[in-house]
Amino acid sequence: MTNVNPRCCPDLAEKISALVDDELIETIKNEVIVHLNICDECSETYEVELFLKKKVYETNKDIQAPQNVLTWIREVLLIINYTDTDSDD
Amino acid sequence: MKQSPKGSLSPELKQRFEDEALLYLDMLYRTALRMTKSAPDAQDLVQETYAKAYAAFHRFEAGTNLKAWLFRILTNTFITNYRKKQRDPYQGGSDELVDWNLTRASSNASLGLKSAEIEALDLITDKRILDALLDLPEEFRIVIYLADVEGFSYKEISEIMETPIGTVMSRLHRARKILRELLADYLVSGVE
Repeated sequence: MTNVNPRCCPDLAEKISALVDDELIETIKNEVIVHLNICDECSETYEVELFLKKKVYETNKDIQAPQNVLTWIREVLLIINYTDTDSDD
Repeated sequence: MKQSPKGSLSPELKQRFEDEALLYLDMLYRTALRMTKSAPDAQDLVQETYAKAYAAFHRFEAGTNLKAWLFRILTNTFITNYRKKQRDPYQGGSDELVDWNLTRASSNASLGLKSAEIEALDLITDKRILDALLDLPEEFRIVIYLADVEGFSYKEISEIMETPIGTVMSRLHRARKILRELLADYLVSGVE
């Protein structure tokens, strides 16, 4: 396996990342997409970043907080409720 | 009504807190887990975040971004209380961050893998992906989680991390670049 991170056109690197996140304004987005059609390195960078973004999401999306965290939070809220109720009496 | 030391909320606000803020528990926990790299620390961090959010909830402006507000508290709490416990190679401030790993990035930067790269990356196990994510320096790790897992926009991340949008953009780009290199290292070394 060879090294990664081809130096795609330097002024485009962050824009490609922003395209992965769909954060570019329409005009710039269209310019970048046109460029991706003619530049293999930038196109590869875009595809790999998009792939990694999906991988990162998939490997993390199912993590859930342990039940005891929710219980702790509810208990803290309940204790505050009891305190307030007591003081109202 | 007696003032609670953690701040007093009206019953309506209290109910709103339970109904709305607790919806983000899993999101906050998984981000906390990636920030702290430890389940017990993540639990503590989330609990502390909710305690602070509860205490300040009367100041939260209804109709604004509750999710971003909670993540901002989480991030600030992590930076204030937990950062020192971490063993990241990078522990400096934002100014120093810019140059972190640049040498390493440059040294690996010239040859592309073309389409074979995705094919190879696809064979990497989820555990390796997680290992690589955890190897990212703290501020890169946080930004990539906020963007790629929790789906925050650059503007939201900028508010959560209290950094300019340009910095968010740059960090996210660098984070993905380093992640890509780390995974390539696994492939090169044949560790799987």
